[in-house]
Amino acid sequence: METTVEHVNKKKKIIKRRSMIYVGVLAGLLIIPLLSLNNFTMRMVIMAGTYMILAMSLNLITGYTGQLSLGHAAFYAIGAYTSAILSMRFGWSFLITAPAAALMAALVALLLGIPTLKLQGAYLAIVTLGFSEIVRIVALNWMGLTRGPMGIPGIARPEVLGYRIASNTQYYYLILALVIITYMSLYRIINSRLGRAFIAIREDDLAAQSMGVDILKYKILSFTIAAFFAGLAGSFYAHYVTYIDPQSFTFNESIQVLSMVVLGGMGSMPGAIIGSVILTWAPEMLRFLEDYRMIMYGAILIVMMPIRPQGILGGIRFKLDKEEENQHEAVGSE
Amino acid sequence: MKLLEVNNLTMAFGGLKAVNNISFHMEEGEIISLIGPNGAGKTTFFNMLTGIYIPTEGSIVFNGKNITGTAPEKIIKEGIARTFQNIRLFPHMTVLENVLVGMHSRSHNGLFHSLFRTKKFYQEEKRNAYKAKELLATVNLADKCNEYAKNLAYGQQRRLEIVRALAAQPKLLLLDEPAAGMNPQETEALMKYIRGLKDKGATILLIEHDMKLVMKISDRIYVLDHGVKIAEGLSKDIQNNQDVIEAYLGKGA
Ligand SMILES: Nc1ncnc2c1ncn2[C@@H]1O[C@H](COP(=O)(O)OP(=O)(O)O)[C@@H](O)[C@H]1O
Ligand SMILES: [Mg+2]
Repeated sequence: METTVEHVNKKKKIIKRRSMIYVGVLAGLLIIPLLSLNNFTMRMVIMAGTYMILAMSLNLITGYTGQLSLGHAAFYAIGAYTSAILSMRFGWSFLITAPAAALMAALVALLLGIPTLKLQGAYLAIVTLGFSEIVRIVALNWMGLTRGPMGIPGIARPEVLGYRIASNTQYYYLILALVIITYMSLYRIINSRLGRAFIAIREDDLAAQSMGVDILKYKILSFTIAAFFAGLAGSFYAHYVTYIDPQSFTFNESIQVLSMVVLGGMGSMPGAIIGSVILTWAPEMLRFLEDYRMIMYGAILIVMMPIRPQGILGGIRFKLDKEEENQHEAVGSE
Repeated sequence: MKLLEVNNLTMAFGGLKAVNNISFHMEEGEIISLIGPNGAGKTTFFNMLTGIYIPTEGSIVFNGKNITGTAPEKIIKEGIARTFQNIRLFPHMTVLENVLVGMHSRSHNGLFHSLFRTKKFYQEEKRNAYKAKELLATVNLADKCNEYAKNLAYGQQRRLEIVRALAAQPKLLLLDEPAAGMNPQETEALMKYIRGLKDKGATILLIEHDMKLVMKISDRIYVLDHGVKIAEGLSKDIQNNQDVIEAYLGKGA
């Protein structure tokens, strides 16, 4: 056994190393807009941030809880439309429409999850797939609310604490804040009794249930939280692009986000982030392939799932987990 | 006081009665063994006690409460925890995390406390991690805390599963062939450990199909064959029971 002094020193060292990593990463992220990147690049960076929120949240239900959802774009759409409509009709600002959009997406997920998640196996995949089509068709046909295929143009730019967000740099800092909020929230959820219940369900649902995990309750909770953040991403998207139509929220979008999660590694937070960056850029780089680009997503899913389910990063999750546990240990010795 | 009372329990799968009209009882502090050849219905009996199967007939009364047909996640709150014949750990969770999941029913941190990392959150996490490590130390797994469960040796996995069940602080511990696949030394150590639990006041129901193994540590033994209870009693009576010998060795033995 280690002595208490060694323990405390170890704890200090771990915390110091962790905070140094965080400070370093944050500093790097803060100076990106100072690199005078062109508009196109900045737009790609901002969209990568949006996809990070989508991928991290899908990762919660699919990567950590083990429930395959093929309709994440539906909650993205619900968030975007909720925000756009509240903003257009009532002139509400982003600070109100964003949480409202996230809550709306979460509420819909809750209502959809209760009957669906009772069923075992592939039902969630099928239901979410069908549901996202329904959302798209409703958006296409409910002219009075969504203006159908004409979409909603001229969505107000966000105003945050008196600042009007208009330039790419300002949008960058806004999405950065949202990504950090999402990351921290999900990180805290995953590294807690809740997160352990989610992972236990993925690992062995019968054993989890026998240990007292109410699997229906936790699946619904995971699905609802995932939808909450997808709705948040949708809200940002609506206020960023300032124009939305049903075309932005197709099944392809769900598959793209799923591919990000799978490429980076199911059940890995850094994986979801790196997957989002790669797969936001790759389609732009491969524009000459036109619609054949979709094959790339199929290939990622088919190749990665069986051969490398831990994603391209692989061992990263394990290292971070270990660090977390070490911290645990240190805390326990106080 | 009777801790567990099972009356005329039957589990039918189609035409097959895997468990047929079994009555059974346990007192607090006892170690009871449930033995019988493969396919006798022992695991099915556990599955009914833990809510995984709903009995076709009969009742289960635990701690004075009728728990027949109660869902598994509620059974553990009533105070029954179990291990599985074919180990069911959470392979990609660490050893410590496996035990922490075992404490799920005894802890409370929800979304709010987790998100805002409240004082209560840290208190509970700290207390649970401490208790989990204490438990792991009792089965010599303290130094494996940060290993993935899947990377443990077979015997270690068996021990981890027992500790995960104990983490729920059950009033009754169900062990389904905990020694299966262990070498003689590991088995010996395990039996000693189980007796140690009893000395600390645990009540244990043990499934085994190796009769010799349980003779020494059991207070009483129930013998099942083809779903039917063919004998019950003290170890020495069972050993010489003609029906039991036949069930194990075939007729004419
Ligand atoms: N879910 C099930 N469906 C159908 N038959 C089952 C099921 N579970 C167990 N059985 C049957 O019940 C009998 C008893 O099995 P089991 O309880 O596993 O025996 P034991 O644990 O004593 O070896 C076996 O014939 C087995 O095939
Ligand atoms: Mg069995």
